[in-house]
Amino acid sequence: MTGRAILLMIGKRLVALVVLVAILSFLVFSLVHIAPGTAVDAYLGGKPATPELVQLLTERYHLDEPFFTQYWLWLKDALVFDFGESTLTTLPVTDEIGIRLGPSAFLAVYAYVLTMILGVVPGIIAALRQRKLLDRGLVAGAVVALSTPPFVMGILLLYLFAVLVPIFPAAGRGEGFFDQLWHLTLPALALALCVAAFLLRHTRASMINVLDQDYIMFARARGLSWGHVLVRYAFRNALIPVVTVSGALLAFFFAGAVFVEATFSLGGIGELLVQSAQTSDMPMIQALAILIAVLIVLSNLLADLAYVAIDPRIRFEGRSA
Amino acid sequence: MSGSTRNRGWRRARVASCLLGAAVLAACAGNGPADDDPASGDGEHPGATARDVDAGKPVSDEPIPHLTVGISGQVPLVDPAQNVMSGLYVNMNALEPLLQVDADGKLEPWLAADWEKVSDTVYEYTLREGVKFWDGTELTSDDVKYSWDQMAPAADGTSTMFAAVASIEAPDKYTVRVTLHQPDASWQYVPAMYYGVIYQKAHAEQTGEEFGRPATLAVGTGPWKFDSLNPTSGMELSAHEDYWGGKPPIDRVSVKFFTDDNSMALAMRAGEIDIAPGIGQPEGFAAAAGTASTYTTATCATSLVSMPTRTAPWDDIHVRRAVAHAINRDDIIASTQGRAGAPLHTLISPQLFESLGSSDEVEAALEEVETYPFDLEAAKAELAQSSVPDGFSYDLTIPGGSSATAQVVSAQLAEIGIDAPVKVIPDTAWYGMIAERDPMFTFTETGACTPDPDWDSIFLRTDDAGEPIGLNLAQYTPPEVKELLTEGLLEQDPAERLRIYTELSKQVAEDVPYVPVYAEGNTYASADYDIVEYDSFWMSFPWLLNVVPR
Repeated sequence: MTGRAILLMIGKRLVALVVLVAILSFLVFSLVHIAPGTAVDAYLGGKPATPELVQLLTERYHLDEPFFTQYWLWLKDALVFDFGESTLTTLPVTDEIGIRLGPSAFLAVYAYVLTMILGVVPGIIAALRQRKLLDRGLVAGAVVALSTPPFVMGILLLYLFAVLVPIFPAAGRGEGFFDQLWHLTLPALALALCVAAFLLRHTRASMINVLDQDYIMFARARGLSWGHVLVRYAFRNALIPVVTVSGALLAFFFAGAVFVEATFSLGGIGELLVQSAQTSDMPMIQALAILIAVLIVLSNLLADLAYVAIDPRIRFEGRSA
Repeated sequence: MSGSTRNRGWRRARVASCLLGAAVLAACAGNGPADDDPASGDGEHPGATARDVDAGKPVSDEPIPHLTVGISGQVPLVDPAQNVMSGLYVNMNALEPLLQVDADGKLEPWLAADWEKVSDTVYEYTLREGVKFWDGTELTSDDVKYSWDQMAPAADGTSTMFAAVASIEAPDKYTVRVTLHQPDASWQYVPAMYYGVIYQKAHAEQTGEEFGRPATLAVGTGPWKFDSLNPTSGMELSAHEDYWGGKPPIDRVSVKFFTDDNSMALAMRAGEIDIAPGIGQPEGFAAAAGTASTYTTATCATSLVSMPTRTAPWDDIHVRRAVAHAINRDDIIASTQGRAGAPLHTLISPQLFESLGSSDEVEAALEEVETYPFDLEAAKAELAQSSVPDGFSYDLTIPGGSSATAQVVSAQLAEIGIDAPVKVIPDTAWYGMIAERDPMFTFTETGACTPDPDWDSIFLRTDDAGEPIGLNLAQYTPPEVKELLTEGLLEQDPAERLRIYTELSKQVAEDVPYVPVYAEGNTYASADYDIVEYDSFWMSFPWLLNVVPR
């Protein structure tokens, strides 16, 4: 794939993203009108409907205008990240998401990196030590980690490393890079271990498969060093299915960490999502749905770009065709 | 030595077993409020003792350089007009009320040095002179007027607490005059509640839309000032040097927000928080929090079983009486993990009668109110007289959170042949059913109460057409009840009000739309500190002034 082809791919994806968000924004906006009760009820969010408040909400959200006019006015605001105010807290939705975005992104990236390190490295080692004690041990450990959901792992880690041996804080998210790193280590581990175990088994299987291939034997027969064969031939080929799996992980860690967020009282996006669904906080649900859709599309795009970097077949596809 | 090690090992084992799951919690939670008195041997628990110092003074002068407070939930903003529940446990340490409710339920001065009921509809408050905001300017009646005006339903605020107010005036620098639309005896307590707090007008006007939000906060007169707020993690406060009661003994206060009580307990165990007021499940908390112990007060808030009185078979009074007799309060209270304060037999808590007469008078009045003690034979006899003598089936629909307790209720009803399977629905769906007037057999807790017996009218309210509104879960709408409620507010004489609310209680007991189950508890936990006068209204007070080291 040439540089131009890559740019074209990115361009296409971004156009798809815009179309997707446009459709989604319409659906998400319609929620207010689809929800039981009137649109005013949806924006009231359970507060008593005094005439003054109804009047205020009708004006603020233009509820006396036709549906499409309302949508257009809402969309114009949404384009500049103004999704209105949370019906639960009365803070602007963008502020609420803003203060949670940083720690959630930090946690997601941290957990992602840990997943990669804890999944891929032992996976390769296990494949190289096939059927040896180390391999058995790693696989057995993976089975345990795989069957331990993150919220159980979270409480276990919390108890072990914040209470019994207090080397990490029990709650909170910290300020500044190193403080955040310290605060988010246990939550990131809790999130990462389960997925890393899955990735370990995936990497191991993929690596074993590649090591069995004729071209590995041929490379060794040509006298290439074992390290060279491993890194250039085996590892890169084994990585392709792993990258496929990891594409959706980042978005998952970002929005799906609600149990871990609750266990460590982090105040993140996942928790906000659950809370807004529980309280029917419409403006918040709208903004979060769009944010998460964008994140999923973008993280998949990143995974595809990683493909291009790893797999020469994809990279050279454009030239040979 | 070996004893203490064994002790620690036991505690560890206990926590480890608690980690296995909530089911084990009941078994391993040892510290109940009663057997856990740190001051055992020398009289009452500090939580049950009254403040014995002047307004504005701390109970203990012992300096505390830094106190860390853990609270459940988050504080998105500190503006009471925007969101009255936000900052419920924190605001009062920074933003003060004009009055306070003392341990006996009587009003006492706070920011107001004096107050007077000029007529049935006019109240006048005289402010303390020389009270300074954090920026050094003096508190005036203008600030009070401004803060309260924001609470009016017509302003951007969403509160109904100030609905009785016709106008608020500031005739001179230190006088605030409140005029009500009509006599309303419950108004007197509003200036002493968490929603009646005062902040600086100039700052609020200058910051406009941004007022109360994390970056702007508010300027108050309280013993501690807001330094910063992060709605997802916590708050910082520091001592107000020029506080009118003298510089408070705690220099710095960090408030940390927790989503989960269990992790808050572990944080307390790890020494990251010193004290946690308003916790949800005291027994589980005490078991996980190590050396910390808890104190629970029974508040005036009512937890109750509600029956839809307009729907068959609940429209049959014998069915409702059968349910009332079948409820075993002790077993239900045991299922609440320490959340319940005490058994309750009347819809209006006896605590709320305290302000209406002497204890003898109140006791005599309450004697007249019929109660339904746990009695299976009586329950079966009532059911036999009803339209469904062989029992029936009806869902017990509840919001999440009280499902363990609802299971106990369901099992107790099964004893007399009523099949009431528990159906847990999301909170919003539950509120939706109330709003839609779907008949619902349910169990509920309500939270914060106010000192006036009118508080319980939330369960009895009807609109002008006599249709149930608000939390009238039982859809209970006799015209006499509506009359008594109206009369209770119009009447100003305590003795007369005692008569009215006794009448009301008798009528409600007679008709049993609700079965009162327990007075809700409120609990703090700490290993090193206590909160003096920890009663129903602890959070309507700068309660950090009441913190004493053990």
